[in-house]
Amino acid sequence: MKSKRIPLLVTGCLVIALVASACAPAATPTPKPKPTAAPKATAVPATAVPTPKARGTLKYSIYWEPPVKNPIFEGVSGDMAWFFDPLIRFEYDGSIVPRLAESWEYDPEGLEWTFHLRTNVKWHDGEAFSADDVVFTINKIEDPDIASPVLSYLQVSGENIQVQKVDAHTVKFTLPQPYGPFLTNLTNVGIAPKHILENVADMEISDFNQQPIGTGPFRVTEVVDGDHWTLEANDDFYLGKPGLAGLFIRISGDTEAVVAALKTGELDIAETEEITHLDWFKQEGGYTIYTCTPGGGALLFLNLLEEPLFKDVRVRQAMAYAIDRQGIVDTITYGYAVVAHAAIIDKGFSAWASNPNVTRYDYNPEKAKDILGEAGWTDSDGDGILDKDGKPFRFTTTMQSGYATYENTVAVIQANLKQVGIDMQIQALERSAFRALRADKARADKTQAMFSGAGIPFDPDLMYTTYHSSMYPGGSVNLYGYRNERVDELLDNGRTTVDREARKPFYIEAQQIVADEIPYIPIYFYWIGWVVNDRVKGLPKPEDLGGVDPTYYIGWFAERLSIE
Amino acid sequence: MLRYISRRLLSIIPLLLAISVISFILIRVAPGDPIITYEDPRGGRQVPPEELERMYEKLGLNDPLHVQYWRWLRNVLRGNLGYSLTTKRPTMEMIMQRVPNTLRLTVVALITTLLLAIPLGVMCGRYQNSLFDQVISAITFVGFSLPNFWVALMLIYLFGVNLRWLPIMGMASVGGNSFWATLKHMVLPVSTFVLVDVGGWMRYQRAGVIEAMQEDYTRTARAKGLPERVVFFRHVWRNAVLPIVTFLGLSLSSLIGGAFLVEFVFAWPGMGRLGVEAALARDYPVVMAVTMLSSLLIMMGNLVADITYALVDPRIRYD
Repeated sequence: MKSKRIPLLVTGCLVIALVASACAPAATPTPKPKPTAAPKATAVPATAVPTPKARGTLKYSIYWEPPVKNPIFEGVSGDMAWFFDPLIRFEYDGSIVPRLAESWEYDPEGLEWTFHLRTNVKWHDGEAFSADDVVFTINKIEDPDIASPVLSYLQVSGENIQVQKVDAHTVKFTLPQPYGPFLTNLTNVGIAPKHILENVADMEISDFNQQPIGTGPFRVTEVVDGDHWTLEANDDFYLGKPGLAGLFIRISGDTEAVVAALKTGELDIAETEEITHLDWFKQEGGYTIYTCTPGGGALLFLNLLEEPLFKDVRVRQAMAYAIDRQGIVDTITYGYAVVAHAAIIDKGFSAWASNPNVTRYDYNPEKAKDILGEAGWTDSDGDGILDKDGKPFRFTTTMQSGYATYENTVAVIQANLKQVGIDMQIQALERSAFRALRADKARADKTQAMFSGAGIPFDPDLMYTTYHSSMYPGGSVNLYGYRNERVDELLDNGRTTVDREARKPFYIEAQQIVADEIPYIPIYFYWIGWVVNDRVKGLPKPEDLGGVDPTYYIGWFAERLSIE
Repeated sequence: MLRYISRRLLSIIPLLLAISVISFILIRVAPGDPIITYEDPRGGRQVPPEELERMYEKLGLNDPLHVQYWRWLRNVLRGNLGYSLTTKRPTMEMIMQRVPNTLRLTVVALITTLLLAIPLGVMCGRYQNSLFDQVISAITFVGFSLPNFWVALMLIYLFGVNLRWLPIMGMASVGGNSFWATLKHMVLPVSTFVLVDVGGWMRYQRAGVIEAMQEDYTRTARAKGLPERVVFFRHVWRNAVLPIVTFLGLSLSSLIGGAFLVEFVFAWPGMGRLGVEAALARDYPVVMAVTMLSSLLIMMGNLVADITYALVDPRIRYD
């Protein structure tokens, strides 16, 4: 197995950086007045697009290309959103708004959901969209021969959600049991054209997947493998003519080159997490910087099952006190990430379910030492490492290599723990190797701890994957089998309740228990940086996005964008 | 000669088979698999275990390794390289789309490099230790020692960002798939190859010239009173070009194999990126196809080098 250890030197440098930053005031750059930056267009009407005289082409860059451009095989919350539509979609304030469906209602139990579809929708080839397309798509995704990765969005506890046509523009979904995240999941299910795909013998290898035909605001006119896609405005779009004439989507590799291209105007929008880049654009003016925290947590997962070290809750709490999470956020992420106190972030789509009053573990190494002492851990042989019954407090954390922010974070955790006498080793594995180990059912026998991200919470139900006992050992992020019957019950209730207000108390309580028991130590909610040239109009201002990742947003309401 | 060539060609077959077995095993024992690795980096969604199991079954990854190998080999012999596990497209089609992109860069770069390196090398060798030799050698040494991705980034900053003369990324700009647009996009990546490679070729040429100038046949040619021009071009240079021919044959595989880092920086969709990205994604059919192709090319390159060697140097005979 390929592995590498992070050299001590790096750790040392980071410790120095941490100490230095503790003395200096927060390292935020002083914003220079921007003489050139004109006030930007602000509020965007939901549907109507002010069409400028000459419509421009937006030059956009992606690092990862959906390999199969077919909603039967791929969710539509990413770059598929330019040309495929789901029935409903998230608005950036977190509410759910109509897309292909005009309205919907459900029975009091939340088992039958009826969606009324728009009647003025046309596929890019001019055919009319109808309920048949919806039924066809859902049935294909649920077809066992297709083995679609989208299927889990259409299942409740492993059982398929059924769909049937009521009339040409009405469909009815029947759920096996009430399901809170149903609408959230539906926002990721795009609809595919029946009239094209019903005659395709093997859909998985069909040409359609590279020349998709959707209902979205843009149609794909050209896909040059590995280089770029060209998209052109769909002027028959059901919400009106898009503000852009088209899109040029570059498939890029190196971040430095992407940033350079943004400077030259070869790109209009680009992603970077490099703080020096963000500073440059800030100073230069003429760009809007979005630093969003989509809410995915990065956690130190402790092996609760096989590692005796972590069985004592006091030890886990002491470790949480020993890790300077605010310091990590300030120095490694330059204040852009958010310290994870509660399991659900108070920004973005799940903010309504976040608990602001959970037990906090603010950095306190003295307290950590005291608690460890109470738990029986003392440095009896004077080697700087705590020990108990002759065994030193030593373990190895496994992580994925190649992502500098994570690597630096773990190096600081290592240094923090060292200060209270805990010796943590780091094992960094190549991406595939790490993911294989993370999905390995025997991981509890093979590893002692892992540093890993959890998914992005479009719905607070994401807690289920990390903290529900049924999520172990299968391919989920309850990596070391955390089990608490009350938490299981609360998460089950949250999942099977439809109304937001009724769901909220379940998540509030679950977050409190999880914070007290701290099975896995949440470090921060990671962040994403985006730089957008101010020529691009129609995006909400960063403060109005409420922590929503604009990459999603850009594609979701692509018809609202325009460029000068 | 023909017998020699056919013998060499025949010997390629068992070699390729051996390589295919070894690479098939190696890529499978590498930790990870295409399904676990395949994940929208933004999605953060975990695939449920039953779903995983269904996908393994569907892709035939649950069968014993020898069964899978035999299936792969049978398909390859029928001319079917299989479908990519990530894009679901025919592997052959993916490779055939990338090869011209790569050739466009590497062939132009190689020709430019040789056009620069051979005259420079000849001059440096002919006037060894002159000021010209020392200056040129120093410059090419610098180029030779720089990592290609660094050169690429510097070119981007100089000609892309500061001077704004040239596009930075990809093969085409908005609305421009024309010959002229592609040419503009080629300038920076090709320059990167040339800057880094010219030093090596120049040194081979220079060393060849210096060696040939000290040979007895050169002294003989001078002694019998041939004009210096004839001595140099007929006797010195013709011998000094031999090592270049060998290296040309050996570089055949990298012409098609591409160069990952340069392609990565310039977002150029070439073979290097295809191969590395397939390996990272554990896209087995594509990895196998790229490995077999480059193995074949290396062997063919060796053969071509040996044959041209015989053509250029009448002393060498294969029987």
